Amino acid sequence: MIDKIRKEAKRILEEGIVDVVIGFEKGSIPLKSTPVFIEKPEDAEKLIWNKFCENNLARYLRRFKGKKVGIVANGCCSRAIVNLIIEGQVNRDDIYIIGTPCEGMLSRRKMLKDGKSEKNVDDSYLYINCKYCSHRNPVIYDYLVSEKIEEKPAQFPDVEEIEKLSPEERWTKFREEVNKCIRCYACREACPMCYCEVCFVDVNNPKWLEGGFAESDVEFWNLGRAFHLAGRCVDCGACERACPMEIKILNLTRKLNKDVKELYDYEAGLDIKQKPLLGEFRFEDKEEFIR
Amino acid sequence: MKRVSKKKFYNRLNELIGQYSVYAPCGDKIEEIKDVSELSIDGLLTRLPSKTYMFPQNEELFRWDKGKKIEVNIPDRKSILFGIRPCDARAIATFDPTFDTEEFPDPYFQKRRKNTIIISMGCNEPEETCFCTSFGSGPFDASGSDLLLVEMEKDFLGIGREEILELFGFEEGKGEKDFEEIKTQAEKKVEKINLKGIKEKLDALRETNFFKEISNKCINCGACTFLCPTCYCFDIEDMERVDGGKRMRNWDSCMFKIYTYETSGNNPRRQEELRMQQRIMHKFNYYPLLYDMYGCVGCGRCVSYCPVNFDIREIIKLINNAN
Amino acid sequence: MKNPYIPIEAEVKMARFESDDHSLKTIDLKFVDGDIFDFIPGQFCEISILGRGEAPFGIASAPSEDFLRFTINKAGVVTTGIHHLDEGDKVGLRGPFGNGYPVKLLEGKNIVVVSGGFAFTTLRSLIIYLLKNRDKYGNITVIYGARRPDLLLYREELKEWEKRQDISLFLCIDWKFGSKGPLEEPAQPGWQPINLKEPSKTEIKKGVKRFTAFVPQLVSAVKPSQKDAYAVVCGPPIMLKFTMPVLREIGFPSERIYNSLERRMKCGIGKCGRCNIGSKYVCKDGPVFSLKELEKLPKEY
Repeated sequence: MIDKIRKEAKRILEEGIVDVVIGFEKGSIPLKSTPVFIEKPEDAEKLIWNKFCENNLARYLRRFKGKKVGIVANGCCSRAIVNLIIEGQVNRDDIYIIGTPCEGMLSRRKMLKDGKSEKNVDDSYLYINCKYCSHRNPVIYDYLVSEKIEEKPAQFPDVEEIEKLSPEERWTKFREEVNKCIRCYACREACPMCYCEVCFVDVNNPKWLEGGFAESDVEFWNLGRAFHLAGRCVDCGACERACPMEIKILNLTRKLNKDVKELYDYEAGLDIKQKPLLGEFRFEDKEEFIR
Repeated sequence: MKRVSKKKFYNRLNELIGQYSVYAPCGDKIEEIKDVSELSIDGLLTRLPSKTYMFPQNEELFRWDKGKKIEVNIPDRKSILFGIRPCDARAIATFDPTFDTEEFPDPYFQKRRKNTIIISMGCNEPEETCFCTSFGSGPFDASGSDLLLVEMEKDFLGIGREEILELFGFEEGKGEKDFEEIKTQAEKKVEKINLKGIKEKLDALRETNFFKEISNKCINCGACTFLCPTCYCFDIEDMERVDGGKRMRNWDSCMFKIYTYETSGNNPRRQEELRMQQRIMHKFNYYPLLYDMYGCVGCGRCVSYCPVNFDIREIIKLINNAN
Repeated sequence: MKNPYIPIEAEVKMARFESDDHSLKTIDLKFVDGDIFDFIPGQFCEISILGRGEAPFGIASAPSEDFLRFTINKAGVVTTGIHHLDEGDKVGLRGPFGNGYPVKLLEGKNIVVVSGGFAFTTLRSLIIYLLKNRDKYGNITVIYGARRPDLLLYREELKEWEKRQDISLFLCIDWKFGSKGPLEEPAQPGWQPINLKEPSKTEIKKGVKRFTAFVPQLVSAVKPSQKDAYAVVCGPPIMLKFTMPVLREIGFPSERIYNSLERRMKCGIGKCGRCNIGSKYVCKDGPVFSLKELEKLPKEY
C-alpha cells in the first residue's frame, strides 16, 4: 500500500498535476506519524501510511487556495473533503485525492501507558470512533490505493451506554469531563470543519462568553462547538486526539451524529451533491419537537 | 552530602503545613495540599506546568463594586512549592526579567515569588522527550530551586540553601558516589541538542522562506503555549456583573490568529509563518538578546502534546543545518 | 507595593465631537485626586471603562496644559463606551507609557511634522511643546491633511498657528462629494489645488496655506529642506507608504525620520507579550521609533 501511495504521489508531482502533496511521514516520537508537505517528486519516498496517522489532513486544504493539492485521504478525511466542497470552501478540480481504505487508528496514549511499542500493534487499542466506523473506504477519490474493504453499518454503542444513565448521572459525567478544559482551542484547530474566520468565542461584540474558567463558560464552549458541528461532523476524532487534557469530546459529537442519523437519516460528507443538513428543509422532516 | 530519611522529611513537611501553604503536583496540575497523604507525584511531569502556581491561568487583578470603587487582593502567604522538576523550577526564573522589573513591578507575581520556597525533585528517570541538558542544565540542576532532592530508596539527598536544609533536618551523610552514579545514568537519557550560535543563525534566517516551510503543519492550536512553563503571554479582560465586576488576567497565546488583531481589521501577524517566526525567535533569539537566557527549559511538553508532532528539537537541527 | 495595573480615577471635564459624522470625539480629563503627572509629548495612556475594558490612546495635550486631552475614533467596544461619556463621568487612567518623541535630540534642529487624519493627536502635544520652548528649536514646518475639513483635528489651534510667523503650517483636504479620484479644482472654496502631474513643481504663493491634495503630494509641493532637519511622520499606513519615498527623495536619511507606531496593546508595560516587533515592545521601547531602528526589526506591517 505504501509503495503505491509513494508512486502515485511522485507521478502527480512529476506530471505537474499538483503543486504539493499532503500526506504523513514518520514522527519524531514513538507511535506517531506527522503531516508532511511534499513539493519535490523525490521527497515522495518520505510518505508512509500506518495505524498512527491520526490527524485529519483535510484541515490543511484551505491554506492552499489557488494551488493544486494532492492529498492522501482515508474514509473520514475524504468525507471532510466532501463537506468542504459542499460548503464552498475548496474546489473539486483543485484536489487530487489518493484514497486509502483504512482499518482504524490506534490510541498512542493508551499504548504508551501500557508500555506497548510498534511491534505489538493490537486492535484492542482502536479509537472509539474507528472501532465503530461505518465509512472505512474513501467516499471520493481520484486513485484508490488498494481494494475496498468491508463496511459496517453505523452503530453507537458508546453513546447508548451514556444514554442509559439518569439525567443527573449524565450531568455529573459531563461536568467532570468538560471541566478539565483549559480553553487552548486545540480541538477547534484540529477539526477540518471549524474554519470560521472569527469563532464565536472570539467575538467581542456581543461577547458570548468570557475567557476565564467559569464553569458555564467552559461548558458553553464545548457544547457550542459540538452543536455548530451538527450535521457536519465526519466523526474523524481529530478533536479528542488533539486535546492535551484528554477530554472525551467524542461523547458529545457522536451523540449529535447519532441524533442526526435517527432524526433525519443523514450522515455528513458522503456525496458532493448532498445539501448541508441545516441548510435544507425537507417536507418529511420530523416535527414532534416543535410544539 | 546532606541526607535525611524520607519518613523524617515528610513528617516535617506535614508539620509545616500549618505555617506554610504547601502546593504540590496532584495529577494534572499543582494544587494546595492539606496533608502529605494527598501527594501524588507519579509520572515525571505534570501536564500543566509550574507556572500555574506563580502565574495562574485566571488571575484577578482587581474588582470593583457598584460604586466603582476598586479593591485589590493579592495573596500574601508564606508557601512551599514542592515536588516540581528542576526544569519547571528553572522556568520560574525566566519570568523574572519580564515580571520582576523595577520600572513596572508586577506585584501579583512578585509577592508569590518572594513568599515561596521552591523544593524540586531531581529526575532519576528522564523521559524520551526531555532535552534540558541542551541549556547547560540537567536532571539534577539545583539552580532555580531553594532545595533539590535526590530520591534514593529510603532517603533524600539534598542540595540547596543552608536554611532550607536545616529546616527539614538534613544531616551530613554518605551518598556522593551514589549521587554521581544516578546523575550520570540520568543525563545519558536526556537528548542534548546543539544550541551553539542559534541566535545568530536565526538572525540570518529572518525574512527567508524557512519559517513558511516549517510552519506548514502547525495548526495554530495554542496547546504548546499553554503547557509551556516559560510562556507568559496574557490577555486582560473585564468581567461585568450587575453589582460590580472584576478585571481578570487570562493566559493567551501568540499562536492564535486574533492575538495581534486590531479593531481596524489590520492584523500584523495574519499568516501562520509570521506567528511561528514570532514563537521561535522569542524563545531562541529575542529573549537571549535582551536577557541572556533562553525562553525554553527543555521540558519536552510541547513535543509530547503537539497534535501534529511539531518537534522543536527537529526544528533546531534544521536551523543548524540551514546555514 | 506599586501596582501598574490599577487605573487612577479621572473625571471628564470636557467632551465634544470633532467631526460632523460624530466618529471622532475629544475628551479632556483631570484626576479626581491630585495634579496631572509629568510626561513627554508622544507618550500614551490606557483609558479604562470598568466593565468594558481598556485601550491605549496618545496624549493630545501638552505637558504645560493642566488637563489630559484625548481624541478617540469610535471603532469597538471600549471606544464606543468612551463616546457615550459626558462631562462629569468618571473613567480610569493608567500612564504615562511609552518613550515619547525625542525632544532633547531635536533641540537646535529644524523639524518637519507630517501627519494625516486622526493620527495628529500626539503631534498637537509635540507642536505646543515646541512652540512653548520656541527658542530651543529651528524652523518648524507642519504638513497636515485629512479627507474633509471637519476631519481635521483641533481646528482652533490650526487657525491660530496659520497666523503665526514662527511656524509654517500647510493643510490639505482631498475629498469632494460626488468626485472620484484626484481633484484638479478646489475640493472646497479656498483650498488651492496643486500640480497633479508634478507636485514638486507646484507654485506655493506666500501666505497660501490650504490646498487640495493628498498628504504625500503636498510634501512634494512644499519640499521641506532636509538640512539639519528631522521629520516626524504620523499617519495611516497608506499615507506612510507614499510619504516615505518623497522624504527619501528630498534627502532625509533613515536616522532622521521618526514614526509613531500602533499595535494592539493590553498591558501597556511590556509584559503581556503582544505588541512586540522583534525584540522591541511598541508599548515600552516605542511607540516612537526612528526608521533606522525599524529597518533592523522584522517587517510585520
